[in-house]
Amino acid sequence: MSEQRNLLIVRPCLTLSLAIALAAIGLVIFFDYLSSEGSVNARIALAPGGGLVSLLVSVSLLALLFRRSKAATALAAATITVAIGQAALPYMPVTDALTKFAISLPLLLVILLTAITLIAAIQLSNGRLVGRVTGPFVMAIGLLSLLSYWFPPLQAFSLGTMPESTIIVSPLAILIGLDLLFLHRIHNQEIPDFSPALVLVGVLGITLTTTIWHNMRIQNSNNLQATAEVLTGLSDEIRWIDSHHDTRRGTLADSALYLPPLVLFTGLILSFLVMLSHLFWRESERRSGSLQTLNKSMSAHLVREQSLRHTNERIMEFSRDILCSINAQGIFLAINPASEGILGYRPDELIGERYDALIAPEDREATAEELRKLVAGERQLSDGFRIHLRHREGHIVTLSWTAEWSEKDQALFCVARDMTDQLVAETLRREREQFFSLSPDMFCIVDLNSHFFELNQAFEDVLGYPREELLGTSYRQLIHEEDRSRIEDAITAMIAGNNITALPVRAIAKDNTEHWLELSATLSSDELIYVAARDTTEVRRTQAQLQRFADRQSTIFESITDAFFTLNREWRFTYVNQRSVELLGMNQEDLLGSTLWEALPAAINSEFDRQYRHAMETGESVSFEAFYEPRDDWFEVSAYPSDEGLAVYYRSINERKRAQQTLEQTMAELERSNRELQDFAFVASHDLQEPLRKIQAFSDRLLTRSDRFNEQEQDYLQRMQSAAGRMQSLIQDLLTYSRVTTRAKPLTVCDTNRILGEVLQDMETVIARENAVIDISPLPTITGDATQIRQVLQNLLSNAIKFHKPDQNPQVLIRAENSAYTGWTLAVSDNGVGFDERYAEKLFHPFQRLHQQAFAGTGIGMAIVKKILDRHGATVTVESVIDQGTTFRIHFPTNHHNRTDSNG
Amino acid sequence: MVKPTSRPTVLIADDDPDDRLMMTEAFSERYGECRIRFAQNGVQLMRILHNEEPLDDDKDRPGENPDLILLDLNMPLMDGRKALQEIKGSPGLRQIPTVILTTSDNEEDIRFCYDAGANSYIVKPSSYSNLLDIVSVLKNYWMDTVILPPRPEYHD
Repeated sequence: MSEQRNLLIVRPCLTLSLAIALAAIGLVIFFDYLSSEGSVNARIALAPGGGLVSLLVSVSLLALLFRRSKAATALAAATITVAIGQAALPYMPVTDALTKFAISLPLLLVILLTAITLIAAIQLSNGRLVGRVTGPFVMAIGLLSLLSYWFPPLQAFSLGTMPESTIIVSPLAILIGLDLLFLHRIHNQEIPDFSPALVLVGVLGITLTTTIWHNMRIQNSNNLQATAEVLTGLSDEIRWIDSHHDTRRGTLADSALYLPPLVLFTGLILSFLVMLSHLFWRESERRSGSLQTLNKSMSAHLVREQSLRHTNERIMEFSRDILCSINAQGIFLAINPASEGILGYRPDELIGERYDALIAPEDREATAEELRKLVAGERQLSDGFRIHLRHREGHIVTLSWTAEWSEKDQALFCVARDMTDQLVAETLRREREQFFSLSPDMFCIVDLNSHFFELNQAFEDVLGYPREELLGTSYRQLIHEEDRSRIEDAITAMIAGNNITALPVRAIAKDNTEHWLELSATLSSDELIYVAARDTTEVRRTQAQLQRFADRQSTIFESITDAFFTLNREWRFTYVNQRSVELLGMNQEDLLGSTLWEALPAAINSEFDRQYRHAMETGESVSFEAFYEPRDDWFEVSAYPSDEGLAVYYRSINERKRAQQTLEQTMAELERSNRELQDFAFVASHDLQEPLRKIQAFSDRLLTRSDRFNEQEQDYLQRMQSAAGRMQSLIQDLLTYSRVTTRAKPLTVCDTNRILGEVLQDMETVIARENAVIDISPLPTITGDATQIRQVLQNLLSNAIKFHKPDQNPQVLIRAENSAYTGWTLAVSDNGVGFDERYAEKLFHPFQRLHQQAFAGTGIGMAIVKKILDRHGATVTVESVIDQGTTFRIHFPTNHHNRTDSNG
Repeated sequence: MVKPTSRPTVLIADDDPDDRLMMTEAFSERYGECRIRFAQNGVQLMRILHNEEPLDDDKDRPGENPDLILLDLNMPLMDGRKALQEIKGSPGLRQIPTVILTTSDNEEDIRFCYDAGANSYIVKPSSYSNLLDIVSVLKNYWMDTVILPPRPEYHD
């Protein structure tokens, strides 16, 4: 490599030296020619033609070296033309001066070949071949030309006109030939940097050498001239020929002949070497410089590499994600310390283990499949592949894997991120979003410029604007103009750091309806206002309704005539109506807010106290009457407990109470007098009856001694007896009448048929005596007092038989009529004398006898019957037609309730 | 049952003189041979029964029980109810037929007397003829037919 580099330097350097040399020599030749023109003394002058072509070639070469391809080509072409011209000069009719520019054929050849090679090197891609051909050729010519000095037969190849020039030109030609070989390469290669210093050194050196050569030549020429002066006398022609065709070898001493070229070439070589060494120095400088640079960059690179590796290591170490590599068999090759944090296993525990040892069973198959695809190349990259792995402690961790198979390394490189938190966060976020979007409450987010940032479904639903329409627009347009300033104030407050709660504003929905909203808002650190709003339109409406109800209620409470107040659970008055104020004699202000016990101390430990407490504790409503001493008033109170406390309705019942008390007193008195009366009645009846009995008995005794009395006396006695008897009956009837209530027995279900049977049995004798026909049929039961029912039946039957027409046997019909669920009617009909219905009223009054004197009986009988029936709740009607008969109808209602009356 | 050797004796306890008169007349009419002795009240009745007072004016049957006791209920000092209980409670007396003859037709009285051991309960009639019938019945049944056995223990 370095050899090649050397060559790369040597060749151009050589070419440059050559070019400079040619130029210098050419110039010297010209100078020499021009300076020797007027010289009479023959001087050895070099043919200027060579100089010209030399210059031309030099310039061409220089052009080539310095990459002036077009110039080089042109110059080369010019060189060809000039050279041909020069070669043709001898054959052309030109002046002598011009003839001197002629060049020899070999020289022409050389020049031509050089120029052609030049052109070929520049223009042709295969110029190398041309060079390979012409180069040796030119070298050969040069060599032959050089040898022609020693070998005269080769004179034809002499490039120079005289040995002096030949000695100069031939080596030059050889060198040119050598140079031709790699002209092409030079043209196509990178030439080293020809610094001006280099060129200057070269030029100086070569020019100096050439000048020395020239001076040496002049010196020789002067010597020769001196010699020639010695030889004066010789014809100019000869001198000229001598000077031009140095056939006499002895003209110049060998030293004079060889020394200048030697000096020249030495100088040239030296210059060349200097240039070369400069170039090499430069090159080595450059190389060392580039080495240094390389070294530096390499060190830098190394450092970078190191730091990179270090960083990598740190990354591996500090990475929160698992970085690992797995081979095709699924065994961990490398894993970073993050495995400990995420999975609970240290890297050294996992390296060498199979990857699927940690995978949850449900993911194993999918993971194995994924791995297979990656290894096989079916998939390039697996990204975001979720796998559930079991942490050392047993819980499941969700990781998101990114993996890529490296064919070169035969390993799968993976990054795994713990998604658990992310999943949780995702779920949270989703839930939050759901919450936000599904919440029935209206949520929205607005920025400080009053534009909607976000809003939820409820917002849309309530106000009727679709989300897209509102986003980005100002909310101000939605707010009722009267409320806008309130919003402004609220925002100001929020900026000051306060939160807004329950701010009532009106919003206009899309359909232009007004909605009352209650806003709660807070300003967040990201300069957004988070707002929750509730549609309170309904609530307000309901509240308004409630208020109306409350007002109406209040009006009602005020207008009812009862006194009313409410207590809360702490016994404090929450409402007191006007009547209450009147009855209690206290103002509303005095009562409201105070407890019952504070405001009305007289209530403590009273009936009020007991009852109210009972109601509050048990939740049962209470009704009671109690005396309120401070107002000297009786109150009838109803208290109704509720969740809120106690509602108390009351009224003053003073009069009623007094009346009630009076009544009770009266009742007690009545009862007492009743009892007294009963006792009296009993005693009286007994004591009254006793004398009667005696009267009857004794008068009867007298009658049994009827032989002692005459008819009239007997009659008197009989009248006395019957009068006494009547009185007794009367007394007994009165007693019976009173006993209807005093000896009343509780009502039971009575077998009416049996009672009737007993009655008929009792009246056997009467029935037989009167030849009465009693027609009976089954009767339903009666809920009543059996004894009294018996009395009724007896009475009715007795009357039916008693009041018969004189010439007819009494016929009595006893039937049950209209037997229904509600009751039944007992009908007792007779064919007796009947009575005028107009007097039916009187029938049931005591002592009202319709048939005075005609029939026996005290007349209380019917009264007793009526009283008994009244006690039983039965109603009685009577129909009668005179001389036809009478029908009594008694309706016994079914006793659905258990009637227990003490005294009927 | 009247012992064949002695005169039948009826002991009547009644405070009412009119009734006493009626009884005397009725017995003399229907049961002439029957001797009637009156007690004014329960106390006297008991004294007679306990032989603290002579049963009869002629002292030919000292210490003998009457053949029939007629007992009025409403009497001073000791009323008939108490006397009845005493009679029927006393082992030596309870075999004497004791018939309640009273004005009271009170059910309670009737029940009481029967419970106490009265052999019959008759309400005083208001006619003399009925009284005669009653005397006949008393004679025929209680004095001529029935013998009440003494029983050593008395139910309480």
